[in-house]
Amino acid sequence: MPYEIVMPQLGLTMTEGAVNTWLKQPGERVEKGEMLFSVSTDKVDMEVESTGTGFLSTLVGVGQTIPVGTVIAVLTEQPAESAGESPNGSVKYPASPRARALAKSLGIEIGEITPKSGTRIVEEDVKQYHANRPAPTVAPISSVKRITAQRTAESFERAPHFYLGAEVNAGKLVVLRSELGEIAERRIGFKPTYTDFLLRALAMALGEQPGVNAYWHDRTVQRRDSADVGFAAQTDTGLVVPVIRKADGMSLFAIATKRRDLSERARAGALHPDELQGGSATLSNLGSEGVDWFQAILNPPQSVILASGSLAKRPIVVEDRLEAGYSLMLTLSADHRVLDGVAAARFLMAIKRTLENPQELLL
Amino acid sequence: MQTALSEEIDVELSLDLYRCMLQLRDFELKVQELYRTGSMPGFVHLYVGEEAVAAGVCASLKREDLVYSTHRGHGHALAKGVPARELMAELWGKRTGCCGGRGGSMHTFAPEYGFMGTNGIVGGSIPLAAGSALAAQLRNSGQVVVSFFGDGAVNAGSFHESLNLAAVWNLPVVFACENNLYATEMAFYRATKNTSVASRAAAYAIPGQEVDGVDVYEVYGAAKKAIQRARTGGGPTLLEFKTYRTLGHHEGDPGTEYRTREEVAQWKARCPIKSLRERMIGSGQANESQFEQIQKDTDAWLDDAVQFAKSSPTPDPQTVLEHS
Amino acid sequence: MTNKQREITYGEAGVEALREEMGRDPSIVYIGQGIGPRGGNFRQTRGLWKEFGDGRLRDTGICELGETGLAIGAAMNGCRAIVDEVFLDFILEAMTQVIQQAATIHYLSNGKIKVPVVIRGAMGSVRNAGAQHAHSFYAWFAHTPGLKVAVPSTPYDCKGLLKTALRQDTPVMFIEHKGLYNSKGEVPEGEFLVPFGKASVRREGSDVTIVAVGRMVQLASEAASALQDEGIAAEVIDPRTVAPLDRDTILRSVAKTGRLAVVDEAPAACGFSGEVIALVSTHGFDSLDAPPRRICSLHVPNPFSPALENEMMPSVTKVVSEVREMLRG
Repeated sequence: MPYEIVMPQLGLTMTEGAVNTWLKQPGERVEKGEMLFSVSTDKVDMEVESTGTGFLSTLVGVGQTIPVGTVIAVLTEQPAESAGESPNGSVKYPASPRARALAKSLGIEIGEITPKSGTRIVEEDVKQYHANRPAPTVAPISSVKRITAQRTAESFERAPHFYLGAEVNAGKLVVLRSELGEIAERRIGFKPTYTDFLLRALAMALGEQPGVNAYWHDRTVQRRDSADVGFAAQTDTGLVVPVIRKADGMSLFAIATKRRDLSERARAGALHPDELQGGSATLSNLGSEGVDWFQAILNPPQSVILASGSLAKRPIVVEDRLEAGYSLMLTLSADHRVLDGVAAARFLMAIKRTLENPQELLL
Repeated sequence: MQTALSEEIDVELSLDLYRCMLQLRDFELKVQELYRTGSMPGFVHLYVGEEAVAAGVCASLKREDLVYSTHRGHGHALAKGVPARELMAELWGKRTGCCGGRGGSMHTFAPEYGFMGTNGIVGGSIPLAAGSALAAQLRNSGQVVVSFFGDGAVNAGSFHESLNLAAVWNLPVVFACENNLYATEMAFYRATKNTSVASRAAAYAIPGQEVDGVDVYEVYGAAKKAIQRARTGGGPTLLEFKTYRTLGHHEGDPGTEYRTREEVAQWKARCPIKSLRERMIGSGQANESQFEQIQKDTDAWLDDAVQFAKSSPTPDPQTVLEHS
Repeated sequence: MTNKQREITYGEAGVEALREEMGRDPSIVYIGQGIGPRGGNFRQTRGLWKEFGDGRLRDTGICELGETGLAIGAAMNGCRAIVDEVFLDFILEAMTQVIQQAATIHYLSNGKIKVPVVIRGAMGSVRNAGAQHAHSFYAWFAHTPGLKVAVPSTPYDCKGLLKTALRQDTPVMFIEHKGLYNSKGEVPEGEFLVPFGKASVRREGSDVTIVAVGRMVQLASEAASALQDEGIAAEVIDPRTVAPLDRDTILRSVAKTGRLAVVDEAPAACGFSGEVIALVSTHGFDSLDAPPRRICSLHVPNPFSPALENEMMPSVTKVVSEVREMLRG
């Protein structure tokens, strides 16, 4: 029979107390008379001797207020097999097979349960725990969000991601965008965003490096013949990625026009499912949110995604001098099943080069 | 005595007894050969030397009469009419064996021929035989039951209890002791003070008779009387057939540590098969060519059994729980 | 005439089964000691000799091996035979016939030979008979392939199971309990059978399953009544035959209650209690909410002195306290 250690009565008025510290570890052998734990009462803290001998199973955590006379630990002749501290510091109890089965079916972590008997978790303990458990708050989830959750999880689990970063000197890009402003207003009715420049750069690089325009399928690398670029767009119902088809053959203004159309319709929820399908690569731009740089999760089955941070003035080195200048942080995520490091690096460098020499974007 | 008996037995019956003994002998020698090649599983106790007993006793039994046998039982099975094919296949553990491969040498049953089993337990089948005789009596079936056992069984309790009950209930059973002088390696005179098994019949107030077990005429005559007595309500008889196994206890036992070579040679010289042949030729009852023909028939009979058993399928492992 | 059914004793129920079956089937022969004019040491064949005579009721001297072997042999040649060991203790003299012959021959003969023999004996302790007349080794037979084992606990089952036993084509061990022969219960007149392999739920309950056979069923039921007063609802399962064993009823019950106790007059080691617990541990693991318990005779021969034997055997008090402890967790 296990020997029971109770919360001691340490004075006339004490009705409850809390264990401050267990001076022995669960599973450790304790001899009668050894200091076992310290107790806090409303008046005093004091260390308490063990009144028995055996292997320790603690039943209450540190700091729990317990009525006097309650069993707080048991000493057994044999070490309890599954007794011991769980990683979160709470005490772990053996559980009956029936209790385990019920807990599993209810999605309850058996280790969170404290048995009423103080020895073994049984079915009744699981039922009690379940009955007292606050109903989980379930936020309604849109189908877009559910799909995003599923696809990102799948991608992150299956595709071996690796990441490459580059800082782009964006001085010329800022100037070019400003200079193009008036012509653009006239030709297409608005001034292209940096996203448009980035999409154009991405499309050009894809056109030039068809090895990147590929994806992993059934243990082989499949090439795509059309360079289609997608861009991440936030909507009220979640994240969508509209795709601009054959973007390598489109001018900056054509891309900008298409991007604006797709964005507006995405926000209105008026995109056709076809416009969200496929794509060779995706651009995710969180620069407008003030992010310096980040790493994106691949949009399956694509093998690259380009993450763009904010375009801002940063210290840059110009001929051994530090100057303030515009820069942009790009991070490329790549699927190692399709691309090796060097191929991904060349791809990123091609994008960096065109953005630093943005005249190319107008060709 | 011999002359008188041989006059009762006609030539046709003599040749049948000869054929039967030859089949029993050649079957066992073939089993020995196959066993030594390693193609036969388990272990076997061969009947070589004792053929006159099974042949002589079973010659007076009807198909519906029952025989209970021993661990050394191939001869009893064949003499009672179990086809050689089915017996050989059973020894080989084949699906076509008389027990579908479940029994083997020491647990071979063929009730359709009145053969109620070899038995791996010495003395184990004696009560069963008496019990079947009780059923025959109760059912008025007219059956006689023969219980074969060796000298090794007569010092066991089952012998005593069975003979006692069979006697007091006057059951139609013949207790046929094959006294081959050795229980495995234990000489009978070392195992018991009273080495006359037949004399023990007096203890149960039933007839007992000692018989020369290598003279098939003697065996036939004694058994016939006992079977007749049982069939006509005269109750049980204890027959003691003095015989000898010229091989070891089982295949692999040389049988020489506990017996002298001279003793074995003496018994071999009294071969029941050879002596019947010589006697019939000597008396002009039969000629060499008749015996040659019997040998040819027996060879063909045996070849057929071996071929059948060899080419038969093994049991389907999925059937292991059938009849459980 | 009232609607209430007739009550007779366990012993009388067995006699009635024999009378009905021997009347129905002229091939039945009964072999044993004192079963003729005396009517059986336990009155278990009372009146049958007058009715069926010397031919079919075969009194013998003291020779269990011979009696048992002859019964088996008779069963192999067209009779249905019952051999009465009277005290199950005495079957030890005949074990080779039971285990080596009766149990094997139907199977080894590839089903060609039927062995319709019923081997009858009374087990258990009664009135401090002492170690050699008090054994409860019914489980040995259930351990042996080829034997069916019936262990009736009520007059109703005694009649119904014995009639079923006398209609089997393979050997049946029919093991009564010495202490039950005078117990009374309702038994219908005339024909009815109790099937083998079908347990009886003696009492329903939701907190704990108690499995018991033979006289221990009575004891378990008394314990269940006592536990009811404490608010513990025990379900009492009587398998009635331990081979074949009604696994489904036991598993279903433990699935409901989550707790299992086996009460057995035999010792625990390698026995029926362990078998039931193994069954539930293997096929009902997730049903178990507490370690199963065995409430069995202690591992010593039955001592003579009542003070000692009472300590050695399961009792209502022991069952109640063990079950109570189980429920405490």
